[in-house]
Amino acid sequence: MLEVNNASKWFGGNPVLKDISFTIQKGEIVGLIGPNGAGKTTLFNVITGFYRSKTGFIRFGGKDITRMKPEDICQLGLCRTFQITKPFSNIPVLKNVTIAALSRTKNIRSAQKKAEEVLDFAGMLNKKNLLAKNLTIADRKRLEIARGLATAPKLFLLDEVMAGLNPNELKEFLPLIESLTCAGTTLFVIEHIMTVIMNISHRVIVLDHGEIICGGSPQEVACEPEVIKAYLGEEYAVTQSR
Amino acid sequence: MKQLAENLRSSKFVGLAAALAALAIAPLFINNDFYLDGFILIFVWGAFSGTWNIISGYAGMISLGHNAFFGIGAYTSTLLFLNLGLTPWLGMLAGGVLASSVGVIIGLICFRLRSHYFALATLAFGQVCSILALTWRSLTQGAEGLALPIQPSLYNMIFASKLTYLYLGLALFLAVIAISFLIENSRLGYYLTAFRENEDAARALGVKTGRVRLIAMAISSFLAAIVGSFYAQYLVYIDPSSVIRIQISIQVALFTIMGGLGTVLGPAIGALIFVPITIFLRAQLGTALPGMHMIIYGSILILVLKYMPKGIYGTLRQKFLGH
Repeated sequence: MLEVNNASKWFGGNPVLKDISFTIQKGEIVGLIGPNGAGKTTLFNVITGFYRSKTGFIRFGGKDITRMKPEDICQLGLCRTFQITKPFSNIPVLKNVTIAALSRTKNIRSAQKKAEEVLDFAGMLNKKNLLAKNLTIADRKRLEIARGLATAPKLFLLDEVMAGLNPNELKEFLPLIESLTCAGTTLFVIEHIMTVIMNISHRVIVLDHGEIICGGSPQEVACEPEVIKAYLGEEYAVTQSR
Repeated sequence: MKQLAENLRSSKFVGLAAALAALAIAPLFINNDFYLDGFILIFVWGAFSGTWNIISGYAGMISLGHNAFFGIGAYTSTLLFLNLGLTPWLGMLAGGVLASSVGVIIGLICFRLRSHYFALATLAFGQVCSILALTWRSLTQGAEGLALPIQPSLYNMIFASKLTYLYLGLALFLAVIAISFLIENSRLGYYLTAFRENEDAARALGVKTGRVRLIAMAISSFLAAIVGSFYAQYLVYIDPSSVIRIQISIQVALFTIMGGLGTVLGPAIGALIFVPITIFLRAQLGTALPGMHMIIYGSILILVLKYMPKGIYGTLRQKFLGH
């Protein structure tokens, strides 16, 4: 479904992504992990057209999207959330999601209906008339997901949707992630919370210094010495081996 | 409950529309040219502010070059009439098409600029057009201006009674409000708002931000030129200082911001309140204490912005409707 072949990205003279190649199949849930500054979000930006890969190509559903604009890529069914949430602050939650739903219909009423369905799914229907700027961080993250879902993505890229949540919020958030995984949408997920990523992912890709250092099932990856060294830390290795 | 809230919302809108209609009917009972002139000016500035609001309010691309579109409208219909005898009804459309094309070109060049840089670029564009009107004497007669022959007829779009202008102005005023309402409640309006609020998020959600802004610019500049043509027909005499000087852009920006940026009724209400204030202050204080009317006007603007930062209508709407 998604094929990234030899993608790379430089900021000035700094290589941020080097020769990244991987594929994602339909129905898969793939985790993307790696230390801060590894290039995870940059990779998302390259895939979704916000940055342009300097080399190689990216195909989505057989179509070359390397040089396409984000708005056109979204129309193809590839949508992403932002790690730092980007709500349309001064308008109500419902209108936020309706805008997203308008990518699939021209009719405002049917877009609103779709938006309400999605908000219900995300557990935010009771907040639909609030201005987005008045939401808590947790709700902004939910809104990011709801807006993305309203575009009916075939492949959905989630960029740390659970970062910055307190333990309580996290507990309330997990069912949403679980129902997302059950809904059958293909997911590509950046996440730092290991228990979550290890539980939901079919496969994990580990990025460090702009390179894929490892890929495989969550169990394989967690035992890889290189991954432990770069990212998980000794402590995690100990708990795993027990 | 939900239904009730929605009914209430729409009934409020109907109420406001009724109030506007009442204000529109009121002048019919006034047989005084000074007041009629005031109402016509309200309609001209209200309509023009509404057109400005489409690109600057909804999309947040503050244009300070709208004097150019207004002036293009005024000069095109007038020149076509004077040189070719074309009826201003068609000249008006020609001006609209010309202004719209210029608007799209400006958009293509300047839309990559953000916020104040876009405002500055359009300011320069407006200034250039204003200077052009002043110095291209073979076409525009420069500062001498162009006078339309005062031969009232439907074909000439010149009328003996101010009341006819008032009706036309009112039609234009209401048409711009209706168009704004349609835009706000269409995909275009939603997309413009999305762009204004966050460009990256809008693009990630499939909003073609470049194209929707160009469409908004085309509509906005077309309508601005139409209002400009109408104003020229009303004045019967145009010169750069009356239809294309840069202050015109500042003025519509003020009316719109005072009324409520990015709202359907904000620009209209801004003009309804502030056009009479300017006329009144100038009439009362203009000669007695030179400059005093500007000082008072400025103070009123500052007070409104301090206590109603979203404009009069924008702030009230937020208070009562919550958004």
